[in-house]
Amino acid sequence: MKRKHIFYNTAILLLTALMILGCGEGIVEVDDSQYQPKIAIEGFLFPHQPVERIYITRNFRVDQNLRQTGILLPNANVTLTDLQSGEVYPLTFDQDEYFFRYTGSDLLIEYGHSYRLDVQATIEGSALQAGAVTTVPEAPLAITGVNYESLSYYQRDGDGNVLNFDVEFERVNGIDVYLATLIARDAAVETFIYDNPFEEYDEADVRDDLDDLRYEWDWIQNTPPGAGKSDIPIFWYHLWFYSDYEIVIYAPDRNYQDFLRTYDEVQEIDGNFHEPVFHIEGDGIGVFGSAVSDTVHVRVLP
Amino acid sequence: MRLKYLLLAVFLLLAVNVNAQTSREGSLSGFIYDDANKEALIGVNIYFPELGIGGSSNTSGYYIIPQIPAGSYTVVCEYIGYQTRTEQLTIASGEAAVHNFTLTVEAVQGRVVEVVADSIRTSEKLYEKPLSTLELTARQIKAVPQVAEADLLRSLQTLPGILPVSDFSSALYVRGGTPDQNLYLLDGTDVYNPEHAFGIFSTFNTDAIKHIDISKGGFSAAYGGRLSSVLDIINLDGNRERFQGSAAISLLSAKTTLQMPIGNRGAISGSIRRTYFDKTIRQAIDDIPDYYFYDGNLKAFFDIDKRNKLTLSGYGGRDVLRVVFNNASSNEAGFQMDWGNRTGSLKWTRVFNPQLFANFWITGSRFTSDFDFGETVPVTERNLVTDVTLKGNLEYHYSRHLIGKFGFEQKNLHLLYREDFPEGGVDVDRRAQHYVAYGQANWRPTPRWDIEAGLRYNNFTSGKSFQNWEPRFSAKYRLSETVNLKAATGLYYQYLQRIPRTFFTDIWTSASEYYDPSSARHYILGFQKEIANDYQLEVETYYKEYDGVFAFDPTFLTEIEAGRYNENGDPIFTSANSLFDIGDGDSYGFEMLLRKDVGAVSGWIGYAFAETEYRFPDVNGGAGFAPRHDRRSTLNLVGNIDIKNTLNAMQGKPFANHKGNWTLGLNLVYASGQPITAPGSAYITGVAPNSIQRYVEYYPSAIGNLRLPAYARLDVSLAYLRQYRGWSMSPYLQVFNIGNRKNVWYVDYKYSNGLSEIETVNMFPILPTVGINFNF
Repeated sequence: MKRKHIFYNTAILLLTALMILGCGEGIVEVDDSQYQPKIAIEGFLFPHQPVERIYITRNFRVDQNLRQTGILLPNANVTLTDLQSGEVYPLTFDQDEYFFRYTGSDLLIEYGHSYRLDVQATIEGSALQAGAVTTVPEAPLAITGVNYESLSYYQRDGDGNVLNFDVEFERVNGIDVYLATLIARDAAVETFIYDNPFEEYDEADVRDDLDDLRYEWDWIQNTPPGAGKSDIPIFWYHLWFYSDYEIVIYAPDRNYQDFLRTYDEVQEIDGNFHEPVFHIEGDGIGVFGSAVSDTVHVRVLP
Repeated sequence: MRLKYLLLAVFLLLAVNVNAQTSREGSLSGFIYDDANKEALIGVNIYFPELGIGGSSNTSGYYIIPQIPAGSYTVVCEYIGYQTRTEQLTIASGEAAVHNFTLTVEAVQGRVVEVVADSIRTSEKLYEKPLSTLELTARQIKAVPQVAEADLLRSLQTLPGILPVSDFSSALYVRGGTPDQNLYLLDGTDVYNPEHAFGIFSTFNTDAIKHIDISKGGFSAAYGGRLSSVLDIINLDGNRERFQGSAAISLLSAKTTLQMPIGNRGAISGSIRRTYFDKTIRQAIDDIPDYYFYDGNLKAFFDIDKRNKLTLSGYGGRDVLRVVFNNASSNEAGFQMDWGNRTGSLKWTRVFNPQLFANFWITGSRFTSDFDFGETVPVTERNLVTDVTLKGNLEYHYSRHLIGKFGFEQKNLHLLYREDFPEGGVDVDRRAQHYVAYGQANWRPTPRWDIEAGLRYNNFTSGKSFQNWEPRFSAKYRLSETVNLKAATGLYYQYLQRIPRTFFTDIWTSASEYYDPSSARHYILGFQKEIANDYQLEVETYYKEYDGVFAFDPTFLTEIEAGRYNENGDPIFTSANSLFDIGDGDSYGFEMLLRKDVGAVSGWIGYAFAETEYRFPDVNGGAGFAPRHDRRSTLNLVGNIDIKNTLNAMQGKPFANHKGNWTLGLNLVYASGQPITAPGSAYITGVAPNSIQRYVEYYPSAIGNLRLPAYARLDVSLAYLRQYRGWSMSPYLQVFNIGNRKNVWYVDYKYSNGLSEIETVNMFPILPTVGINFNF
């Protein structure tokens, strides 16, 4: 009997110990040990347009409260160099718009020219510098047509096939990636398409996500080299409102292409992060690129 | 040309009947069967105690003991779970005696059988098996509590050195290697993508399994084509004595296995299985996907005559997943995906003469998956791997001291990945031929030493031809009656790579004009000790070097180039070029396994320390990093407790076979945290110049910079076995993660209204399952 009791007690103790081991919660300690200050750049040049909307900010810790953290770097030293002429143009911070711009009238962004952006800033006592070079596309981009000016939502043809908008454009030499952005001009809770096959929304959801839903984007890549026409299909999962849609097609330079294809896809399905492809030297992240673009409008009808 | 010479040498050896026996010696050979069903038994120890010589049965149940001095002897035949059989045999001078043994299952199953000749059985069993090889029986797999039902791959994950990456995957990470570096053989046939979805089930139905060997490294020249491990599964041949069956029903699946004799010449066995939570739980819970799979095995074998046997084996299975995005909509959008394996093999077993034994196979393996996005977006995908192989393995027992093994393999591969989408397509269609020849010599100069040296030759062609030699070497030394020392080393090449896809089917591609094959070198030392007759202690340490290994490049879109353009000017991608980063790395570790296979309490305790580092020029700035599956320390405890007999043992009563018996199963795993690449910081950006708002984006600072918290889980099962005349039933309750521990899968980062929200995403919570097994 005594051995039996010893067995029972040992078994109960063992099971209790195992249970304790198998209970609880794994706590992730997110610390700042991997944080490194960086200059975040978001800026694009367009031929024959003013140099503006060059956002220069700083990165921040992943657990930082942004309501109490200033990320702007208004005192940054930002210059743009025309690599053809060697001329350096200082950019100034716009206190109302929170971006840098060139305020002079002697700078004209030209097709096919290369420009270098240099940024020097001090973040948390560290003097940082970042630089990037963009080469502006060689020629303008022209949309040559769109197959339907308007479609009813999820409209089908006589055979029952779903119809989609399709935007056709002339390719730009040297560019094989094209971005389409879509802005719903009449986006509102009332114009949202609730009977959509993709996701169930109620009015509160739409109100919360309105800006996300009204702005969509997609791209195509590896278009044929050389001149010719290509088209970007616009699928219904990008269209959430009965609205006029402004579709802008961009032909981006290589910096912008790689940013576009990698900046938002850094977390894999198993949670692991990987590095995006940025073309910024020094202590910088983000994108300094250039593009040419054209715009077309379509309408989604009830 | 060199391959031709090798093959010629092999056939010359076949043709020459070299006999090392003297005229005063004879030999004993034959097959060893289970008396109840005449299944061939693998790894049975057979020996002559008076002479101190013996051997063991191979994977076909065949044994041979050459060079036996003429005379009358006692022959002992031993196998765990079976009554030891002792017979008196007379071997005449020059006689090639043939004797088949049948072993009877212990009437008292699991009882510690009487051990003879100074505990020779357990220590001999340890000595016989190759270094880094573990064997499991179907009974042991079934004793490990699992999510829904016993599963081979998840059971293997309880052994030291074999790890899962998460609860949602049954894929095996062996000693720092990735799942594509494991060779899965089902009745001799390669199986690609052996996992069903969501990690709960693998493609191997445990009811159909007879024997499993897993080699974690240092495997012999008979195996190749993978860098890390070999999982060799042999299914049941079938009961040659009577009709026999089993069936099981659980909350998630139902299955049955049936076996019967074919006249007196052979047997047939078959299994089928289907999950049905699409018909049950999903009807109540919308979030569960519309998913099911079915699979089945069929195997038949025939004795053509005493020297020739034919075995026919097949497997087929299909997973079907259907997802509808918004059930409330009048328009339907979603996708359907189905995938599965089909394998088949025909094996001819031939005893040319008692000393020359051979198996020849024709095998076929086909994995396909199909994806269809429906009418919303015209995206379809076809993924196919076809493998047709002709191979042969031969064993020549030249003498008691020298065994030659040699073989060949001719593999024809077809790897196809085709995808159509509106802006282009993928059309990667490759064929490959892989020729292999190998030879190895197993030399036992004294009863204490066993030395094996082998060489494997590969000729792989797919767009480009590769020729590689793989030397292999292993040595065993019997330090004492209960202690063995072992060492193994080898060079391994792999010609196939995998593009992993979480949850669903991986895509395979091959070495080609774009990518060279990967290679690895293994260096392993082992120590084995039998403790108190029944306990097996195995301690191993290893070092593994990788060269030219593949990692999927998640930013491949920035580098991929079209192979051609279709009539609409859309790009068609025709190669795997730019999909991978190539690098090297190494793993080293230490493993300990204390195991007890018999008695009222059986199971094992395993501990593994491991460290893996990869170095890829294009990842982490070229600096070394720990991959996601790297775990430094893992402790496993698996116990199977026959409650009544344990209590009996406590009271000094003998082991008894009760009509009704309770069994408690325990599975504890405690593992240090995995590395994960976390974002070192965040920043704000928009996607385009006309963005109407800016978003927080994350930027990783170093790969594998964060260690997740330790993983711990306790699974418990309780089964009641009730035996009736001619049949038995066993209802069971299994509770996966009984402590409902929240094990972290990964960390999710987001900002909402300027405030950081860092949330952990956890793996499986507590999951109870009930079911019932029948045997008849």
